Amino acid sequence: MMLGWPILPWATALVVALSLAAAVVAAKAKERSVWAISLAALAVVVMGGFIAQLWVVLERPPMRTMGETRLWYSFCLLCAGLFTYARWRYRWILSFSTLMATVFLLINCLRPEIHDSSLMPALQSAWFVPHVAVYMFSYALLGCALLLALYGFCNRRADIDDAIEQLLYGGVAFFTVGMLSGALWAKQAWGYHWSWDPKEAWAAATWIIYLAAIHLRLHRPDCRRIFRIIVVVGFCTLQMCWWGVNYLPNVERSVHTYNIDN
Amino acid sequence: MQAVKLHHTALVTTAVVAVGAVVTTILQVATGDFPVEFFAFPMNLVVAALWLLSLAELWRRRRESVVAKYMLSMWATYLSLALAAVCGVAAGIMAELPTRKWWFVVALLFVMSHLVLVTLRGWRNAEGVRWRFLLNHVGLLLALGAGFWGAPDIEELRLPLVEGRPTSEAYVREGRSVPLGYEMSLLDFDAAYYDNGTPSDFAARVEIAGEEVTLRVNSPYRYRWGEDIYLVNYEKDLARRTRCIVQVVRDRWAPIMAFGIVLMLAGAALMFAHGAKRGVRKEVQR
Repeated sequence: MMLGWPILPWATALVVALSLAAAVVAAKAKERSVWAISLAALAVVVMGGFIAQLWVVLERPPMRTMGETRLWYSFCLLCAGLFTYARWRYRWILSFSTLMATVFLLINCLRPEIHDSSLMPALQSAWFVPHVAVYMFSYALLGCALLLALYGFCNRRADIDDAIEQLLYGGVAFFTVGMLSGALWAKQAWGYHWSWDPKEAWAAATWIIYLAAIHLRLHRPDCRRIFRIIVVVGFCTLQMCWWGVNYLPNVERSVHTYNIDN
Repeated sequence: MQAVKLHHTALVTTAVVAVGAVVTTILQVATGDFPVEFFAFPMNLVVAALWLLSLAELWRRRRESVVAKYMLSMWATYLSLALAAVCGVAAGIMAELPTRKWWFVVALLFVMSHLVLVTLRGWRNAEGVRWRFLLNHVGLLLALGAGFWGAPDIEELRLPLVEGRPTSEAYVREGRSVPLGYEMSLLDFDAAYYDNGTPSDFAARVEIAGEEVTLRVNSPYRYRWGEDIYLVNYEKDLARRTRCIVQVVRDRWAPIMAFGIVLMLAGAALMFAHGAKRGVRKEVQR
């Protein structure tokens, strides 16, 4: 039986079909739909299954290349979308998370990159899996917060900002754990908790911008527009931190260059 | 009245930024980069103590002093967050690290001063200790403070080790040699490779001050409190012998930073567990 990367198009088709069905059911239902939740959960299971078999085939955690982190991002987006729907019943959130997860999966299907199986010694650490997984989950929660913020610009429902705020608390908490686990790991690998590496610096900037949104909401909950704008800006900085940094000239002084060119 | 007050604090914030920008630019042009080495131990402790004393004095006079009132205002919080974000973006975008620039140092000092004062004000309320607030703010303060005040004390030394040649001579980044204070010798080196030729694992058996240890990436040796020894690289020298590059990092402030990080991790856990709390918002508004 063929396994590994070649079955990605099949897995993608199945995941997209399941989450699309969940999104349609959720959008049509008036109440929280058990069917939508079950279909979305099934999509999460299939996506998780694909990642698990890839992990086994590669004989290392599939977290190194950009293509591999896109898989995790799709997986975490599906989880976050399901969580947001089950918790706050926004009936269109599943449509958005499906759309975003599909985009990331399609990028991987349409641009099959060279996925080599080596894992350099620097990444062979107990910190590796939690560091990346926690970050991907936080990116997914913050991605959902972005979708709600954009939706909020053309919709006057007041409770949207409450949901964004809850997603920010979860997303920022996971982001903090990702960043600080990275700092503890960095001390073990390179000798310093923090060295203003471009990736670290962008992570810090992203973290602070989201903290600004949280502080603004605490003190001026009436400044809804500025709050949403900060959430959008935070997500843009997050993209710099995630992949934009690879295209900056100062990447030469970065130690986070494992994922360049793939 | 509210509008006038808001307008007033916004103006003060603009003035603070303008004065800060002008003063740090003049200092940068006149004196060059911030003299980090001058603040090596014990100078950093003296200055940090003076800084804490002046913050304590500000805190004591928080009801009458306009400086204290401004430093405890919401605008000072927004300014701190904006300054910290600018520091992050600058470090993320610039080819040369801005950490020795005057504006960077002054901006971080402002952020930390504000953090100290708001922590003093907010760590408890009528209902008791606000644990989440306390863990997050004190944790950040300790991590930031250890990095800031400890930076002049960090020593990074490198030693090239070749089998059969014990050495106690290390080199600083600028190439100057300094005595290490103890002897190190390479006993054995081993590397394994993937099929595509990239290294999968490498390790060096080293004798450090009479003790035999194995160094590998992600697995340093703690020689003593605040002094860790790392295997950073290996290469073939001209005689085709393997030369291991060993790095010694002396950073006695690192454990304080690690403690701050642990506090913030606990704060993050509470942030996830409790989420946004309505009660907190009402509290602050009042």
